[in-house]
Amino acid sequence: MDDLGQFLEAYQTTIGFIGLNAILALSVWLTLYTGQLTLGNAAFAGIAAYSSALLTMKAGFPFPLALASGALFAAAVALPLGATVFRLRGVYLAIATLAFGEVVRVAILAIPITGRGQGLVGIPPKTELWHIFLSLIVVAVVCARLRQSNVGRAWAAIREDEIAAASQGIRVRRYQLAAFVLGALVAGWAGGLAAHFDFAIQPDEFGFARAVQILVFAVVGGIPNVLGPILGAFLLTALPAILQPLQEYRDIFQGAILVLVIVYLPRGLATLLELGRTARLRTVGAEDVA
Amino acid sequence: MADQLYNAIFIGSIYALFALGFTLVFSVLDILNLAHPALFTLGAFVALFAMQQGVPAALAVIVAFVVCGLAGVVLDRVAFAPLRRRNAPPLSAMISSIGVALIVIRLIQLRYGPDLQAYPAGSLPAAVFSVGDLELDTLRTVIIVLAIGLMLALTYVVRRTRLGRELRALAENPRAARLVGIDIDRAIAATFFLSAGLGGVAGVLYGFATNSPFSQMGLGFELKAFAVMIVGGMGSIPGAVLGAYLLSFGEIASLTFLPSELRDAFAFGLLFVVLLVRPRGILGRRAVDRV
Amino acid sequence: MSLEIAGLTKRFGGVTAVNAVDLAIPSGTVFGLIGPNGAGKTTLINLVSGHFRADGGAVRLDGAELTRLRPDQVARRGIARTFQAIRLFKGLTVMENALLGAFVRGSSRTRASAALDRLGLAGRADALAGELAYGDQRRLEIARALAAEPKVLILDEPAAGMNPTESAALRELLRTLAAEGLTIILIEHDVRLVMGASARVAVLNFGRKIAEGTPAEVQADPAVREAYLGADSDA
Repeated sequence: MDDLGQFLEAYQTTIGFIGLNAILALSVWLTLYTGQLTLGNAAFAGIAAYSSALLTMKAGFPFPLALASGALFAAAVALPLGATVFRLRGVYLAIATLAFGEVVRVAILAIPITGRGQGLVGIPPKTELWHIFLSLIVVAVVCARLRQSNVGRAWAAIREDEIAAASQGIRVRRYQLAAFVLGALVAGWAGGLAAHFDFAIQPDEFGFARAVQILVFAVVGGIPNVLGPILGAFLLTALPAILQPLQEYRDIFQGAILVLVIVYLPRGLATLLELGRTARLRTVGAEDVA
Repeated sequence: MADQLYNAIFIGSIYALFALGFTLVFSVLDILNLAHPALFTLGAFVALFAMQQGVPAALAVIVAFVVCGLAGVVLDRVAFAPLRRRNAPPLSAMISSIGVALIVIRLIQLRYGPDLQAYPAGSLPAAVFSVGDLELDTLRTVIIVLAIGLMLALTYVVRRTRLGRELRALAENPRAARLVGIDIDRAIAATFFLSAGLGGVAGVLYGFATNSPFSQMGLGFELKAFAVMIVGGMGSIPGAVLGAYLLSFGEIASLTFLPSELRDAFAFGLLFVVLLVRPRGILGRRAVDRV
Repeated sequence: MSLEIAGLTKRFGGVTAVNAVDLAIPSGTVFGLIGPNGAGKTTLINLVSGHFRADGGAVRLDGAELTRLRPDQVARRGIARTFQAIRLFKGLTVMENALLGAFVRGSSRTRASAALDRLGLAGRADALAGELAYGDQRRLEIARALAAEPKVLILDEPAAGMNPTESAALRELLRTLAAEGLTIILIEHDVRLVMGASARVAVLNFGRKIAEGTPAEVQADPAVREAYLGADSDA
């Protein structure tokens, strides 16, 4: 019975992380759907993780309030960052979010209250699996609804052709900023959940490697619809857990699959669910952007 | 004080060499090659490997240049060329390069582990000498000379050779360049060879100077390079050089009022301030604004 | 309702692409804009639609200043345009393109369908925009622009790639739209279309306006003939 208990506990952690990764993948999806590359969502998750944990630990905040506060804080940081960068061409967002991620990491290491390099320990383990999966469902439904609404159509237009989109009266910068800030909010919520899931958090968990990882989930899963990032997160989190002996080669596998997907299957694995449309898009030359 | 100036020149030269690689590819192809830091790291480790086989340091630098240059050409063939052929947006190229970087870094880690390495004992010059009351060392001096020499060589190639003209034409107007008969594939291959080669050499030289190459050394440098490019102007070769020395001198100066752990923060601060105030950078000419 | 262009100027480095151009376009007319290649017609249009920033001069719609507004702001003021090189959202469907055209009007399906109907595209609503034949793509761009129910419609070479039947149909459509009160600026090389549909025509060359008047007056103008160097653009 003790063995079973241990097995379930380990199993539970992985399932929890699959769910968290799915939420994070969706947070990146929002920005990718408008055709932009952000490498900052791990940092937003980190900001919210630390702030929500500190709020429950030191300020006695109730769990939901701490989560919300953390997420809102992350979004509040994303707003001026995005406002500065979305005036400029796309490459600047990639650079700025990469740099931002590093700034956050350095800040965490410098501020004593975060526990610096040792990380923050003793976080009350309030997150249950159902919190994670309920959040995932809500985020997925919201994203799917947005995608099919005028907002989502505007995002798709921006992704295809910013100039033509502007000519239809779409405030390109504002729509991109909205996706970016919403993505930060979602990433922040996931960060808060993550902090209260595993008793402790460390700055490394929210660094560049993590940002790349969630990007891989979203891209490999596929951008065209909401199922893609979820699928990507499930596959790429569960697979390494199952293929334990190949753990060492995980990065190589993820890097290779990223390149292969971008070059040969740009709409991601989820497009295997809609091969017909993908073929049509390919003939039309819009497979990368639609 | 004089020693700090010397250090600033030294570190700035490496920033410049590294940033030039990014800039070359960005100016000719309009993409940000996020695998460049991996090539930087690769250079340091190719040299390490060579020197562990007994190859002298000077030759190891050349080996690193060539190997990384070729790796750059392969990188293009595998990760970028197919995307160019179907007019994929720059976003795809950036993501693709991230994938390649993951692979290269991990391969290096599998062979050497994540910890700091060291070049074989006695393989690097350890001599010091004095100029006035400055104590300089041979290693850093040679590195500075070599780096500046490479920058001058690159400037010569870009300004005075046929290849340089082709690259500038390609940067200016790819379609016209093809119409005028320029062999686009060859020009692009040359661009990647130079870019990756320079990046690799920067890696070796930095590895030599610190004598502690490690698999993640590219990340920290990548961010400095971004600060360099944004300050100097994305896509501008002289801008990259200018930005590099501005950054290195600025960092040294900032040590007077910032604790050393926050030295890196100076680069970020500069990067964001420039993005806010003058995104074009000092010498940048390319349009930065979203339409 | 009128579109007023006063002394509009645009320089690129040493080249003055548009040089102090004055145009007054009354509402409910089709106004043709012609000139040899490189004369500055598209640049002028880009200045009006906000894609380029003017170096001098002004653009006014019903007296309201439009100069130096962003493209999305210009669109919201009621100016819709098509592009010389078709800029459809190729991966989206015909209907989605039209819905996006109606964006400034809340993306109403009614307006989108109506616009598609007018251009004869209602039956292809679910096709990907990129799958349409070239002539149909041109028509879709016009439908997309119309879906916004604009005050001013700018068409940049809409008939390129159309056969004579299609361009005759376009000519009729333009006349009808103008009669409904729409102001239309038409850049075209197809002489029959421009002269047949326009009430007035202006001619640009090297960035300057060199002639303006009714189609007949402009065709008879020696300066215009000289500008085209006798090239027969009615192929």
